[in-house]
Amino acid sequence: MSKKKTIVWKLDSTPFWMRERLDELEENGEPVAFCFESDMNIAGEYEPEALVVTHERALVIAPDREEPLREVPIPQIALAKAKWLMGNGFLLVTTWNENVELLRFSSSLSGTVEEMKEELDRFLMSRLAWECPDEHEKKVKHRDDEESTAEGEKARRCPQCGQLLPPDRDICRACLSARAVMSRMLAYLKPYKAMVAVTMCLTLVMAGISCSVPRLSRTLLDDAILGQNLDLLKVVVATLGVLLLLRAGTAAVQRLVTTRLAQNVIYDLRQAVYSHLQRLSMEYHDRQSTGRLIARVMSDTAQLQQFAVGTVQQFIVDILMLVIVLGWMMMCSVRLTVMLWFPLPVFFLLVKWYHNNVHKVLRKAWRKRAAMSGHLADTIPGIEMVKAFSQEERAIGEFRSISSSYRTELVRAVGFSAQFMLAFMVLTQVGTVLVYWFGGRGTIEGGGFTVGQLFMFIGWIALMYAPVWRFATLTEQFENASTSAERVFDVLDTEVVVAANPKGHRLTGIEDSIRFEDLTFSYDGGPAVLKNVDLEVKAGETIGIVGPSGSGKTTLIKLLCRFYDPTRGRIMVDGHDLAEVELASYRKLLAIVAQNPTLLRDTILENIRYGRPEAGIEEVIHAARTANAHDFIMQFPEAYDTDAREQGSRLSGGERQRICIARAVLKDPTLLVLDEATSAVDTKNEKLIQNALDKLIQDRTTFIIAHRLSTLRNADRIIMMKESRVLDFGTHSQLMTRCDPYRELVEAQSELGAEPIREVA
Amino acid sequence: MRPKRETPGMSEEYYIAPEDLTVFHDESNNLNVRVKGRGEWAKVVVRLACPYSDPEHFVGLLHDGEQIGMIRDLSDLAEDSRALLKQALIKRYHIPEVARILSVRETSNAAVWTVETDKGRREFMVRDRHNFRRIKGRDLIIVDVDGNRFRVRRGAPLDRESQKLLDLHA
Repeated sequence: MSKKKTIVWKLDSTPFWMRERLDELEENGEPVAFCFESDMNIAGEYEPEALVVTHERALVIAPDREEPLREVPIPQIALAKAKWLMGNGFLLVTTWNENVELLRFSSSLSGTVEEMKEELDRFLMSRLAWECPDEHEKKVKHRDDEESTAEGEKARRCPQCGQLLPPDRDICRACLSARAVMSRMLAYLKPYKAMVAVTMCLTLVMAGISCSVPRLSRTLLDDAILGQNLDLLKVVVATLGVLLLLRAGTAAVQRLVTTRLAQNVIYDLRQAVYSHLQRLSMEYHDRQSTGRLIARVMSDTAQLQQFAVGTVQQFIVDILMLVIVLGWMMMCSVRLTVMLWFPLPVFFLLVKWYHNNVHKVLRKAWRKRAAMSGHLADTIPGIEMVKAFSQEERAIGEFRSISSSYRTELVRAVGFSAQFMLAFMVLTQVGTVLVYWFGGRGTIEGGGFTVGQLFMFIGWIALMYAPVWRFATLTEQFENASTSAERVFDVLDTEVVVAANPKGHRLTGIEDSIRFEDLTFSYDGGPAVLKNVDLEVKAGETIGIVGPSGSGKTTLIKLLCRFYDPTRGRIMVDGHDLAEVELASYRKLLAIVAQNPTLLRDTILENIRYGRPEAGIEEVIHAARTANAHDFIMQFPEAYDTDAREQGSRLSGGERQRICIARAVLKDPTLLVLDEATSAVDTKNEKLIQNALDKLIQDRTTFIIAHRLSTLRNADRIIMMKESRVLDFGTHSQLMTRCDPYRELVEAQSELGAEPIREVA
Repeated sequence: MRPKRETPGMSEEYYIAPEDLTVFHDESNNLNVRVKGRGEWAKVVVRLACPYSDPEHFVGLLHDGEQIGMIRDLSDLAEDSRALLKQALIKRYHIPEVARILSVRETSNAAVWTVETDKGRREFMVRDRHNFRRIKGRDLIIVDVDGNRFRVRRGAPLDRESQKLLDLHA
């Protein structure tokens, strides 16, 4: 990632006030290495200050001051660090005897400051290497020893327009044009062109019949009934009958074809979304709630389909129909047609007003609804707590007040749209009544309509207003659809960060070593949760990972499993960069026993052979025996055919874990990753699990996040982690002698009565 | 360095060789087994590893909650032993096979099925989809609200009427 543009001195991006100063420095023979403008002065006022680093000194300048505010000669700087406080932070440098606060900045700059600091580090390092190589060595070692982390996760912004992104989206609403959304939605119709054409034709036939029915009724009235022509009556009635039958038939067929088309489209969409979800990286899934993703696969795709198939087609047909009906009406009577159109401008203004306001009303109701489901999501799963503190009445009361305000808001929203409906009705009925009056008068006075023409005209009014009404609600439908489209396309457009590399190097085993090279990782540009991990593990070793929570143990494991790609540095497996290895071949070598084992809604048998569905029952039993799971499984009446999830509530944590160990055993991985459960497991269970693990880790490369000392007993070497970095790496006895935090950890656990670690000879 | 232990040949120890096994009833009509070279157990309990998905193989023998061992395939055993074990298994696993579904009556919270099984006609009640267990690639097991099991074989197709009822309600 090259984001250097924010810090390297570039004339076009440097604020004007700084340029003169920089030029001045250059003229005085002090070339500027880089500069950085902050948004705050050292007193915390929002006045700019800038750090300028030349080859001799680091100085801080401000626009209204000639002299530098602060300066530190470069050779005196031992180390630069960023200190994060609430809402703001400082850039400090440590000299031989003191800390100098160089810059103060608001939290909005945290990301760029982090980069700037790295740049500064690199600069300092390069200067040092050049001036005195010995010191350089020392500093490389101690670099970053102290460094604090930024508070919380940063809000993400759109890379195109810089607007804040919603926490669950990767795509900026503003950057998504309506037309692009439309054309993409319609693209899903492409494979079904023929079907689309058929439904369109059928709909047109229906519209045509609808339009000609009033025309026929005119003949019926004028020529047959009033003209007393029985033969004509027979013909007209027969034609009408046939037409109406035809319309019914067409409607049925059209419905059938449309349904098939709609289901095809939604099937494609759902499949696309789901398979993309499966391929998306863990990073994406970490950000999303399960409920939201389920909604995207289920309801958003349906919403889109409804729009692409239903609304768009209806729109095209409506336009055609409106043109035809209007043409006929104009031919019949221009005056009356104009009279009908007269309320329409008012009507469209009304629609606009309605749309501007209905959202406000509806949003209130939705918010109440969200509050209601939030309350339910809190109190129903937490019912035990509610009862334990006997707060049932309070929960009921809270629910009552939320629920009743939802009711009020909803009634208000419905009332609002009822008003709109009323206005629409009145406006259209006014037109109709006018036609009745003027048309009727023309008929009586003669020279105007015949009776048949009048009724034909009235028949067309209904046909004209129906499309107009649909146009009015079109924007609403479009908005719904584009919201769904955003969500769906957000999934589809999110890049698969961890690339599967189907053409990459195919790993068939791990023969030699796994090397972590300067591995650094941060989630989404936030603070680094893993820093500069540099170590090598030999194939076949068992590596214990210990350290306080939040020290980066799990992140290290996740990178090793390649759920994420490192922000910097790499993992080399037998000399191949993991990022370039064919992912599937690597994962084949890998088995993970997670801290919270996941069991699928299937039998224990299928759960154990999830990684190798072709395995026979005997292999499964063997794996279960290795994992010390067989005996308890056989105690279930349905044994291996027990449903793991339904039994789930009765399966203890230890039993679940042993099933997962069996799953790993069956896969017979080359590389085994264990996140040992911290949850309290009784001693007997712990022994069984421990024993199972002992068997499992033989003859493979194993990484274990260890919480129990007994696990460490089996480790060849131990990684001690603290504050996102590796504090030490070595055998138990090495760490005991040279790593104080490790010794303290071991002693603390021993005091609690755990058995002390013995080095196994 | 930690010594790497050999994986014990526990698999072979656990499976009882068919020629080593003798099954018999003692005078109190308890099931006894004798395994050559290992010993003799009374009041033996039989358990299937996969009562639904593979009822013919992997029979576990237990004594007092402890595993004695497992038999891979019943058909490898001597005639007498096999008959005795089969008999014990039939007692333990009562899963009649549904031959015909006569009717399914849906009520508000349950469905009453009337079926013809190989053990005769039976009426039973099921509540929801949890009562139906589809065994991968094999049969459908119905567990009624009282815990009775019924097997609908996939291999032998039902008559049309039964199949219709099954598709509709299962």
